[in-house]
Amino acid sequence: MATTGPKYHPVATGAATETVQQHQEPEDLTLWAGWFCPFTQRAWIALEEKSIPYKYIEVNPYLKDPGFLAISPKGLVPTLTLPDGRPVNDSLIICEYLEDAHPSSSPLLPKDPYERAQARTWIKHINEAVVPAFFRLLQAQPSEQDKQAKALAELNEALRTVCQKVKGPYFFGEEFGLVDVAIAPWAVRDFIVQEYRGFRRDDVPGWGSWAEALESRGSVARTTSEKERYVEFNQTFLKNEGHSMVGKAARSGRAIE
Amino acid sequence: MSAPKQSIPDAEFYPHASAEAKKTVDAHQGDAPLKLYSGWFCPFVQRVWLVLEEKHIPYQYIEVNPYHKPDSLLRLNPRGLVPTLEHDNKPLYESTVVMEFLEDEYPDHKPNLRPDDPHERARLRIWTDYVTTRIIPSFHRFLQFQPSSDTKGLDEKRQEFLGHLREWTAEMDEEGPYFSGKEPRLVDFQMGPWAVRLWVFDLMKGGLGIPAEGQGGEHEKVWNRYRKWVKAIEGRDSVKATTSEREHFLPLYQRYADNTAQSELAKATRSGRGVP
Repeated sequence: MATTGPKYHPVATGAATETVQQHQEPEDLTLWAGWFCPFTQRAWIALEEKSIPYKYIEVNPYLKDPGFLAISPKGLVPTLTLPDGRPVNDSLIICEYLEDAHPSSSPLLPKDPYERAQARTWIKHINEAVVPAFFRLLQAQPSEQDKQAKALAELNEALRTVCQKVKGPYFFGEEFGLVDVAIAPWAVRDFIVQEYRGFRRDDVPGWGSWAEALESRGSVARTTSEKERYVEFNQTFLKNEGHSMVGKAARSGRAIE
Repeated sequence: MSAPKQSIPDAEFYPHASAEAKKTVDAHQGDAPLKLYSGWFCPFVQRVWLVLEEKHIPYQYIEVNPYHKPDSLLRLNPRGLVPTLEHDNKPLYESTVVMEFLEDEYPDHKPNLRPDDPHERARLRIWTDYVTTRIIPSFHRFLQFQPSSDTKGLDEKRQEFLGHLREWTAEMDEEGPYFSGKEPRLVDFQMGPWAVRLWVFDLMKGGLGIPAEGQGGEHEKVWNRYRKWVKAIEGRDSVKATTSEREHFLPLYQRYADNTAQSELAKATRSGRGVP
């Protein structure tokens, strides 16, 4: 079958291997996942945090399998399906759904309405400022020094603003929550822009300690694959070929839709 | 001593609410722990204002002149954008976040604007995102399109906008009249402010282009459903209570139609970006 999109290792590796293997039985919830996808990892972390039973199904979104498109019209991962087949799309909406449906299992949003609003505000900032800046930096080529410098400055600034609000070790202090979930997959992946794009954790006050706390959180560690496999997957971005909607959105300067 | 102008004014715009909205403003001048920093004309403000009115939540209404932003607002929100809500002296902004906050903070104030079913709640959030990321930007690309002599280009923008409206409407509960069914939800008030401003296109952009009843062809069903929804929205007391005199909107919208508007949203539209 002809494959468009990047060539990459087809399954999760490293610590994530066991987590995938432990979730092969039918359950009420099914997570349609790309092991490599940071947005999938958000939903995956939330499921793990809340100890909600789920079945993990690996999807190559680049294949545009009709069966998958039927439940996820844009063909995006992650998608969560309910027992009756109804889908929930969009990583952050999936996270809010899990909170609404399982409010007493390890809540990931504060009880206080004002703090909940703060959480949602910073989640929005992460999604609309940090994540697109990360992808623009990833795609800026070594030959495009101006682009790289601009993207690096934007990422540093976007991170700086949110890091200022972190109480430590997690966003709200001792309690791990959705703001942490929203950014954790990029703590896992910032080694790529460190190696290839001149990003340094030390350049953003507070990021180093927050990122380390995120990487070592159990739910994050066991949904993370081998580092080399992320580099292999991202070779496409590193060459600015960007097959994905995320890449296209970042290049045109729009928020990820 | 008057404060220096902070930016070029967009228009000789009417400085306060009028008609029904003025009555609402006048009724909310008393001090209250919840303060709404508002622009009477702003659709993002109206999203929040609708929820406050629907749920009869006590609030103090504070009109903000965008060219003379009060220090009290800038202390809360350095960007000085409206809507900003002040709750116990603490700031809240981003209309969608504020609307969810009002649901969380005032659960005893009916109506509840989120469905009980978590899946339906999630589904409505997806179609709320759609309003902000697709409908509003295309509304503005249509509104701000230049030159007006390029009727083909204008019609492309028109069709893009109408296409998004149809796609959104197609996800509505079949009966309605509201998006999710018999009861209004946040998503209805997320979209409502733009739905009640579509007259602008008939006045300034050569027509909105929604076919008349019976003329919709393959899209007849979806436009009928849209009309049913709009009728319900326009009939809400909250919508009537937060709507000002149409003529006072004209100078503001003329600037958008000429593409000389200087609001953050106007600039974002020109640079190809979405809602700031």
